[in-house]
Amino acid sequence: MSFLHDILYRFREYILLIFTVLISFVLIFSNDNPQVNAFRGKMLDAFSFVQEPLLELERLGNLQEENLLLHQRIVELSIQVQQQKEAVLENQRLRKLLRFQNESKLDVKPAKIVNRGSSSLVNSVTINLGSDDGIKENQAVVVSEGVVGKVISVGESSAIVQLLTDVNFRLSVKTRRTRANGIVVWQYENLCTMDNVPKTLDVQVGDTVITSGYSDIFPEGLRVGRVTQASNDVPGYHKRIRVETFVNFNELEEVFVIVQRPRIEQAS
Amino acid sequence: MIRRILQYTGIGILILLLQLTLANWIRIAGIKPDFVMLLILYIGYREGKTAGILFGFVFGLLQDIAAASAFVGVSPLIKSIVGFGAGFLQGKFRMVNPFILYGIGVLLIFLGTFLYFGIYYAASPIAFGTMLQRLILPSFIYTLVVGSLLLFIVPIDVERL
Repeated sequence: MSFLHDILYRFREYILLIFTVLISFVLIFSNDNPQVNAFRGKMLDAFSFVQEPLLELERLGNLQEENLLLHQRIVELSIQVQQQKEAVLENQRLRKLLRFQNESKLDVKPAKIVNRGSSSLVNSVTINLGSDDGIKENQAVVVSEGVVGKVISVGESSAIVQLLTDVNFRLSVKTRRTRANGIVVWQYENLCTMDNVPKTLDVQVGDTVITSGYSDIFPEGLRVGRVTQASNDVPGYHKRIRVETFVNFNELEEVFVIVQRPRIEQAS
Repeated sequence: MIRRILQYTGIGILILLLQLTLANWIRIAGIKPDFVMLLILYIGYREGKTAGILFGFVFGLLQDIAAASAFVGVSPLIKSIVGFGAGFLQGKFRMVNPFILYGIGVLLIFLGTFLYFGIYYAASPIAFGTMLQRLILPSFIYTLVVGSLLLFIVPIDVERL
């Protein structure tokens, strides 16, 4: 007994290290566990409480510049709204002709980013909306430029959004022009690849990439990025396609969570 | 003993807040210095392996949670190992050449950064060369530069280490 005690005492630091390493691995492999998620949600609320005022201070310094940009954006958007109103009217006329009915609209909630994450590479952010605001896991997060990510963990007053720039994020997309389907996977900075596109399909530089609508999370037609490289000079059956995202993930401050998906169903 | 634990806890929370705010303000092309890693190195050097492992694990865990990291567990793993490594140097500051001590610190920062990105992106399609060039080396160099600057700015009482 004394011998065992001596051994344990002598190697206590190594035993402690092995113990912490094991716990770390358990945590890494339990990230999808509901209990771990619930714990993260609680902790997240506490951190957001501290971080939010600090972030507000940071924002105050940029108000003048932001104000100018917002004015510019208002003018741009008002022009776009006019054009879109025309497009909606045209769309309604066409739908009527085709006996389609738009049963519900996109319902979005604005949210502020309260934490960009402290890891060297931003791959998730915390927003100031939680389950109290109707936020649930697997809701899409967007900005006017396009897709930002999806909600992966929810606290009462905050939630974690996994960004498109996370290496583990996969997004089902298609090109707007030719409807070629593929999967967008982030590479670095604002560049992604669009995988699984057969060489026989027509994809060209400059094509706009949008969400395919095949996933339960993202509605069809959300802007994702623009094709910057499309080549067949690679082994295998698929093209090499590079996509530059429309969203600048380093400048994100406010986002919108889609709390209700649009349902477009064919009328009987 | 308890006073020291409270002291490190307080400093740790302050550093964590700096990591969440200041590190964002001074990021270059998305790359930030890891203040928490520098703190764990200091605690390991000063207090030894046990303190290095424990504080490394706790602050690593808090860092992952506060950072809204997609994988909780990577930082506590890395910080425990770095704290353990730094703990080997406890009490050796007057016996070993300062350049060797500094070199070991550099190696530990590199090891920590390398393991962090290596584990985090293990299942990703990013090529190792790209990861080394765009993530590991820039993060390592930035943390090292900030750590070296802190060595000049913050007076460290070597006699007490």
